Amino acid sequence: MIEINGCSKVYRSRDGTREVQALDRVHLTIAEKEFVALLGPSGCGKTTLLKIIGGLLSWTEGDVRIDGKKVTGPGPDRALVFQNFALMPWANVLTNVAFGLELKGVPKEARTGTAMRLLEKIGLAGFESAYPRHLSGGMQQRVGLARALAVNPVTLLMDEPFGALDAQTRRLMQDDLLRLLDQEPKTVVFVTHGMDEAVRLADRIVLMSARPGRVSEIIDVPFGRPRPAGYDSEPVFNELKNYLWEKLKAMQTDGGKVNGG
Amino acid sequence: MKSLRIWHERGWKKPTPAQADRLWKRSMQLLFFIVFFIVWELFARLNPGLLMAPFSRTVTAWLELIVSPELYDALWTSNQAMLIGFALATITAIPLGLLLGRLERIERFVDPYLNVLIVTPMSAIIPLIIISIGIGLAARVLVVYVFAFPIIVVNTRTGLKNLEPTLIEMAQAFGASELQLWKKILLPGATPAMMAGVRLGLGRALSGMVVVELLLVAVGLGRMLLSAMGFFQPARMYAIIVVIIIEVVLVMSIARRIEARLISWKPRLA
Ligand SMILES: Nc1ncnc2c1ncn2[C@@H]1O[C@H](COP(=O)(O)OP(=O)(O)O)[C@@H](O)[C@H]1O
Ligand SMILES: [Mg+2]
Repeated sequence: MIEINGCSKVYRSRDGTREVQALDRVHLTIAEKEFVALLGPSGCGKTTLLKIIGGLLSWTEGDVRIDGKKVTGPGPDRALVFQNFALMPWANVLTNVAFGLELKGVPKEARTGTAMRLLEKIGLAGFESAYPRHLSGGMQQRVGLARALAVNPVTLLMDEPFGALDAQTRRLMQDDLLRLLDQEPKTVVFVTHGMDEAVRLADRIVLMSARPGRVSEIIDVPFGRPRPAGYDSEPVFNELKNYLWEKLKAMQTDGGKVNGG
Repeated sequence: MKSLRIWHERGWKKPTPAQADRLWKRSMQLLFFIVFFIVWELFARLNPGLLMAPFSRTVTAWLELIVSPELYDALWTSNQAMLIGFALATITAIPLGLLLGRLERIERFVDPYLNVLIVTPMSAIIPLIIISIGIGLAARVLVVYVFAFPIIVVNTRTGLKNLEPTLIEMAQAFGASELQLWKKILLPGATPAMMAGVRLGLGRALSGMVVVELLLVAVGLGRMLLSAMGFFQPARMYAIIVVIIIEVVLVMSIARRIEARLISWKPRLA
């Protein structure tokens, strides 16, 4: 369980003269095996919150705990998936997927076995010796996802993982992610600025507003996982999307903006 | 040559566009050299002067030169200083570049000096070096060193600084220690720019080698060149210059090959 209690984050410039309040007293509790989408306009602190959970950033006020223990840094229980894939261009697919295991000192044979199994599962069998630059964006993110899954984390932290992909590839990746989670349930914190994506994937949607970043609303998605057939043609699917759209639009006229990174 | 053979085997049938392109390029190169040599020959014969030698006599002088032991002595003398200076520059510049690329605080402190060093014409500080440490091997080594050092530092630093920041974040998220970060991310990531820096540094080391011998410490190839000039042996002088050019071209193409092999994952050299 991830508990975020009144967490604030202020970025300070190096000389200490400028300050940006990225998060303002965020409260959020995420249950085991739950899929939570963080949805909000660009600059509302989604990435900041994700990095704090990942142990890559410190916070300035409040409390962040995982299973009761205060977060002090990255840990093997959490793995990140990045929007720009963050693959090592000098290493082939196999080495990239096995990277987390390599850092942990897992022997080569064992980590190769794990990586090959994951590549198979994620539809990249036969690509183990290819280099990232030879792969399409979708395939690169599959590698990124396999790398995260290879360390067998409790929690997946995904920062707009499909944001750099074209619409069709994105839909395929969303379906594959849900299928993988179905086979092996995990806690997922998924940053997105797509309303459609949030409704398709999440159990709960955390709507955030900008300047300073706050949780403005938490919405339960009325579909179970795996999603029932034809759920996206039900009226409630579009109603929810429209509702989120109205909310985001209102934030934009309040001074935030909806699009961008 | 290969393209010519293909041309023959296929008879006078139309070559593929790639073959035609290659043949065209080779012919143009050949034509360029032929024209160049003819112009050189004519120019030298029409304007006879004490330091003017036509192409044909340069070729003869070159053939004489490359069988004389004197040349190999000179090559050894010159390259000794070059190799020592270049090696020292490489093993000191890379660590410094890495340090500057990683530690912004030190970088901000050192940057102004480095920037001055980069734009200083190194020939200008040769007299200073001679005055302080004489005209021995050490002085020549030092000149080569100051020629090669700055470019290697700057390239290494830039390579590290331009590394995709999310790669570092990724490694840290997967629990990399600082040592692992260096081994798995920072060094491999900085290698292309570092290698380019080393190659450029090698080029500068070679010019440092020639410049110091021509300007102040007359030994090796520099002395041969100066004495050929002094004795009004233009053909020999040109032949020595040709030897120097051949060495530079050879060394640089080997460096390029090594570089390309080390960073074969990069689509193009930086
Ligand atoms: N390293 C940083 N230093 C200063 N300000 C930052 C830094 N990172 C992010 N910010 C600021 O914090 C706010 C939230 O950023 P971010 O978490 O990246 O938002 P999001 O991911 O929702 O787009 C933005 O206003 C951004 O400019
Ligand atoms: Mg972001």
